[in-house]
Amino acid sequence: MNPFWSMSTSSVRKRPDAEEKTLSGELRTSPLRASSKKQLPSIPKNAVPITKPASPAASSQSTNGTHASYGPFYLEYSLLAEFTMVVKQKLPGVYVQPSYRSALMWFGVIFIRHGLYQDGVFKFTVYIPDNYPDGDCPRLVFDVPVFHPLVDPLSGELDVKRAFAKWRRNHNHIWQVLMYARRVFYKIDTTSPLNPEAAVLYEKDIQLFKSKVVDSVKLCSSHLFDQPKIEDPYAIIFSPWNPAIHDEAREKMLTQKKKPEDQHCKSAQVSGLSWVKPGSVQPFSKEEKTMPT
Amino acid sequence: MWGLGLCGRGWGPGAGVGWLRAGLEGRWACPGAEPPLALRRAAAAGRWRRERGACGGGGRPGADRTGPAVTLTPAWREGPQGATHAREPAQVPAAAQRMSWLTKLHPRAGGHRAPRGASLQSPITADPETCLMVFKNHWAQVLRVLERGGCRAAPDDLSAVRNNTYQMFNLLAQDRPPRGAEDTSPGPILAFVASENLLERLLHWHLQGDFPEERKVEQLKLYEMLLSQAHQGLLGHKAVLSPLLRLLSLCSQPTSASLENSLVLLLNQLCVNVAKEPSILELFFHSQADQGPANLIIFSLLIPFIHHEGVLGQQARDALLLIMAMSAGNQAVAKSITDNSYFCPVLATGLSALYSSLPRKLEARGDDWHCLRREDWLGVSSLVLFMNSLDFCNAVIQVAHPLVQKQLVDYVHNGFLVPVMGPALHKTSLEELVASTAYLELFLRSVSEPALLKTFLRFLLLHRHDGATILDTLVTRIGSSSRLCMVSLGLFRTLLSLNCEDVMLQLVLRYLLPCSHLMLSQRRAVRDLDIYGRAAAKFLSLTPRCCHPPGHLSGHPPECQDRLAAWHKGASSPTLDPSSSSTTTTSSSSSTSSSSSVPPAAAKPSTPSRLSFFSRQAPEAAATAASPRSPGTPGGSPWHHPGGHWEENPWELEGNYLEYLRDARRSVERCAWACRVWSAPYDGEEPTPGAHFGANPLGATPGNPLDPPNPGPQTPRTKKRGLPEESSGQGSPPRGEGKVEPQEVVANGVVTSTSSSSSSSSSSSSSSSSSSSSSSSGAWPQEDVAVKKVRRCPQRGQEGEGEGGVGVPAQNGTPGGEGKAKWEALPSVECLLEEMLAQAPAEANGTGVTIEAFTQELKEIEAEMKNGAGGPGGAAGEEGVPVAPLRELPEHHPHLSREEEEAFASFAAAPEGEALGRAPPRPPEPLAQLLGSPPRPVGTPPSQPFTGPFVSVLFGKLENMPHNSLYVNCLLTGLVAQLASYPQPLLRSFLLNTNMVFQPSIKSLLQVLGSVKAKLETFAATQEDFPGLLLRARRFLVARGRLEGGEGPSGGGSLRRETPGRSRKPSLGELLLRHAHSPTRARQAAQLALQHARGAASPSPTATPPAGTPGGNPEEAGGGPGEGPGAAPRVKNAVYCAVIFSEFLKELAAIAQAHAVASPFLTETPPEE
Repeated sequence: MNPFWSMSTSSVRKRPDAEEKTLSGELRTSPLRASSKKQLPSIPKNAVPITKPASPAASSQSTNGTHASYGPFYLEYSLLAEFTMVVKQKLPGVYVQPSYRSALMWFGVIFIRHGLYQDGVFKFTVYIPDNYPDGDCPRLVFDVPVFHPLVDPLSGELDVKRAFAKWRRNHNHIWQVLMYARRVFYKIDTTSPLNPEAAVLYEKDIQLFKSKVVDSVKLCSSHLFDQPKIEDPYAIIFSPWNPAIHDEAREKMLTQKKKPEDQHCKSAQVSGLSWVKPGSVQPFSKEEKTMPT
Repeated sequence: MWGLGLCGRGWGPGAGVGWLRAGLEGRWACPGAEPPLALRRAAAAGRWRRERGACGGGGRPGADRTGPAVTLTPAWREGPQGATHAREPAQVPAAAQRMSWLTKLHPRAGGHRAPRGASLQSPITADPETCLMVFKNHWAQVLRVLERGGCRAAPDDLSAVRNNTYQMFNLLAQDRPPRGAEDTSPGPILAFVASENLLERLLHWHLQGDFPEERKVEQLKLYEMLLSQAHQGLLGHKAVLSPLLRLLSLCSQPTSASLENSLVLLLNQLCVNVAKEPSILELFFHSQADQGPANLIIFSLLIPFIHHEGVLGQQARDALLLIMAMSAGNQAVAKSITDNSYFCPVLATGLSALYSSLPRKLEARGDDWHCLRREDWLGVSSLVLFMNSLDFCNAVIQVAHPLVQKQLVDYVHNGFLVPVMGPALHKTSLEELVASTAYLELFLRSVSEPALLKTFLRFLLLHRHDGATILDTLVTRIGSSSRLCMVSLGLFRTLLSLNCEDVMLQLVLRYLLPCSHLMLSQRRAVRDLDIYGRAAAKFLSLTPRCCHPPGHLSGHPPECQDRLAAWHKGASSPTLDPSSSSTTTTSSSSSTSSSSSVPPAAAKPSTPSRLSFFSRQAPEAAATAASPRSPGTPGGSPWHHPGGHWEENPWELEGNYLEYLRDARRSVERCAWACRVWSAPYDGEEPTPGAHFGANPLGATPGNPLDPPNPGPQTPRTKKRGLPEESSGQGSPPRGEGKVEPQEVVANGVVTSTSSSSSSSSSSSSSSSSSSSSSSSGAWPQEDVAVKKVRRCPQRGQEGEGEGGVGVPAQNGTPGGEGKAKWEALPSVECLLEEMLAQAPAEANGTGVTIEAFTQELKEIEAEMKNGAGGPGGAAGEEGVPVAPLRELPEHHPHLSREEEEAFASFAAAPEGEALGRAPPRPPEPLAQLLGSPPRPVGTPPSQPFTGPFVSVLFGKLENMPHNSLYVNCLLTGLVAQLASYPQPLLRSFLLNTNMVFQPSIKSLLQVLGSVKAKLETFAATQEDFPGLLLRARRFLVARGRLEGGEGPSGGGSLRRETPGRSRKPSLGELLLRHAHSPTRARQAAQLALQHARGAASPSPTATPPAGTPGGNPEEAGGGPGEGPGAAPRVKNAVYCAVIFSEFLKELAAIAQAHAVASPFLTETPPEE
């Protein structure tokens, strides 16, 4: 087992946090981009190019209405909220990171920890339609087509549609897509497959299916250190374990946990005040605690 | 008996001083037989009042007091004060603060004496033996005099002794422990001193004759020098210590200033020495029996100087603080302080005395003045004194032993807040109320120690004065239309910025807790996050049509601009005559103040109190007026746009939404982070809605007893759905509502084995089903279960059934969910459930339909409002009319102060249909309501949903926005924005969730804003040149903001947060004086604006309707459009309001958006792995 992988799993909790940070950093700059150049980068051959994102209103209507021009903010914030929900969800083994260039494209990776696809590390990209949340469901494309009944053997696209026949705002969220993507590797569905071969093998010859899966997992792993398919500063890049870099980072992640509590003690003022006893709604109901001397 | 005669010196002829002294003497006189605490307090308070009455002659003492100019610059305050001043993220942590205190003390205590020591230090660096010989020689000479004895020492003898003693002390100071020996062993000279008991004998000799103060001073100085320069621990030796203590006890009643000085200096030095070697402290306790009741003589001697002004007081406080710090680790010392000294009572009640000498009235010049900034109070010596003492209290509480801390806090509460602050906040005169409110705000802002803050807050929240809590009384004052309103708003801004759960609970949350303000069906939506920005869109859509950036405005005729110039001049409340701008600061400012809320009689340019109050501002104003910022010299500073630039982009504010977003995000996250220490999330679930009334204790949710085997977390939703039915009686919701719930559940397909005939069983069934789904999604590694749901969700229904069985076992594997789920219900649960519930409307014709219906109705209402408003000269009271069919709006304005009544009466007297569509005249409220409308008693369920006096007074004020002055509106909107930044779902949903449907009697923020929009549109329609006025108002505000931006982040109590040097367009919210409030700046802004708007000068009524007097003559103000420069305050207020309002909407929208993306890690309780 690659040590780097084990490290990743050990730091499951912390990582989304870091991603959050980067995202908020990104947010700060992105509206500028939104106004100047909100173009998606070139997209892999099989992906439908997303033309102009949902900001046409922005440029054209800024003169004749106040709130018409807020469209881009809503979109960005919706996606940011979606991302926040993903972070809250803490899906085990699933990591995503919105791209630098567009909030409509997220890079991700799934670690499969048991089942047929155990040890699988599958990188993927989520494409969110530009008319989100009123459009179709987001698409999820694996970088390397995984051998799976629901994954297109050529494009690597996962059949998301079957789970989200109609994308309904408020009810469907991107974390559900991610959850679904993870789930297909644990519970295999063979109805109306995108990869009939896989479906048939799964039904008829489970052994062969298994070996194919193992091959596929190996294939993916062998491509793990490849440069990302899409050039982007926030693309997820794997590199072999390098103690010089990773040891320190790992140390940081492991120690980071303690910090908030320290701050908590030190900056008593930054934090709010409460003398309410838990469960009570009376002010100053908390008992005087004997103060430390 | 000692130490009393002088304790009050330096305070001037204040009444409090006399009292303090009297009080002390009284107590000192019978140290053994103290009356019980309460009695003493009562006596003290009574005496205080009496004396106030006697000396104050009924109310003028403070204002005219022109005590000696205060020369002190409280250096020692800088540390803590600087830190406490702005309670901001960049706060010095408590620990660091404490450090700064102590480190500040040490170097200063030792340091500033060093030079003198060096000069004294004769070059006797000879070897120890020689020194000893010399010393003995001196001693021999002294001894000769001593042995001669006699009652009266001859002058020659005296001087001989003096000279020799001086040399001896010097030598003793140079003495060192013998080399190689342990540190504790005395040096040769010290050993000699000890063996001869030399110092004791010397002192004894002095005592034989009369011992006048000058000689005491000499002795004190000698000892002080000795202690400060000694190379060894002298105090550990009885031969040094006991004469020293004896000497000190002789000085207990200093009568001359020089003796006081020397005494305090020596005591200070003593404390420094003791601090270095705490073990010495013990010796002080035991060395002498005749020290009187207070064991610690250093301490008792210092106490009288606590409240002293000037360097002396500082030294005494420093010294005391050192002892306090030592007491922290020493129970015995702490006990002696609390039991045997009057430290705490003197300190706390001294605050009362000092408070009594504060000016009773604050005469503020700027219309925007609403709180005491540092520059304000530094110029008022009595206030400086008070703040020094308050800060000292704060510091003591910071470092002292808990025993001391507790005693002091109690005394502050019972000896200052209740007897002094309480009555002060209930004075009858408006000015006094303004002053006391401003003081209170300043105190709250300055206190940083949680324990002390707690006392203040407890006083505010729980203490009842005349039957109402202070808090409620203060809340009602927001409703007044005067300066008092602004000061009160400022106070609440400070209160809200504390992020204190108790405060928020009392102000708002406890009214929202029962959820009775919501439609039953809505309760589950409390925690919903609006992730698509619909609320934001909703808020922004309320931007009045007249405020949209118009394309046609560019072609505005120039003459109109000129006319607007005049208006603008009038609008800039602190006005400057352009011709004499740089020279006549005083006169112009006096003219402003005469037109502002200050009664004209009081506005003479130079009442002493005014001079002292603003002495620090006037030069500043003059300086700035003469600076390159003044209109004469454009260019130069970066923020100054060269002429013509103003015209360029008056709508530049349009682009600032991003700034709002960023600010909103910052404030929301900061607030969320601060609130993580709260006891509950206030999500409509915890504390349970019923907990408020004590009827429904936490565990007694209906689901639980029926469903014992279910160990899983009960999801919020189920409780929410379960509980309301139980408690529905209190909220008296529409009938049938309660029934709908169970039906909905059943119809949802969530059918468990129980037949859901009763509400309780149905709720339990729903609880089991939903908890199963929650657990399954929470326990995702257990696979399969939840995904099925996700996948199937399009084909609704059924899933609950299939999973009920699977989910329960699954959740056994995830015990971690229990605690967590309540705090932060996993969104998965939320969402899945929502999915489930969302399907309900189609099937069950219950709630879903109602929701939609209500939304529809709401829309209609809004439409109606728009239409009604669109009509010219919209009838009065239109805000109530369209709503009436649906709901009966109880016109409750219980929070109007008398001023508002009067102001309003004069307003409403005008019979003609006012363009602005005023609300119908309100009958004068009974006095009881003026004094404070007590909130509903906690025990009784409200017959009608009520969101609390705070919200209702804020909303009332908001609704009145077009009539409020610019400054009131800035403060007001700032306060609401602050409130909206709180992350508690109950509060958030109430203010920001625009889809929420409330009980008919509950007014929502959206409705309030809608009515403001309508009023503004009506106004704009009737005001002919509205676009021009608006443009000008914007320009003025931008100019003003730019000035403030250019000033950097100084600004005293400025709440401004941005770092200096960041060049960005300030958002209007920041531009506005919500953050910095200097009248001088406003004036500069006015100048800038005038630079381009020079024109017909018109008399300048201010934007603030003068307090108590009619807010502008209605006949005049209501003058038709096109009549003169629309300089009437009413017009100005409305136009400014239009600007503020549209910015406020942006701010709210941004906050609504920020809530959706707030980092989930902020609200999380500290990691519990």
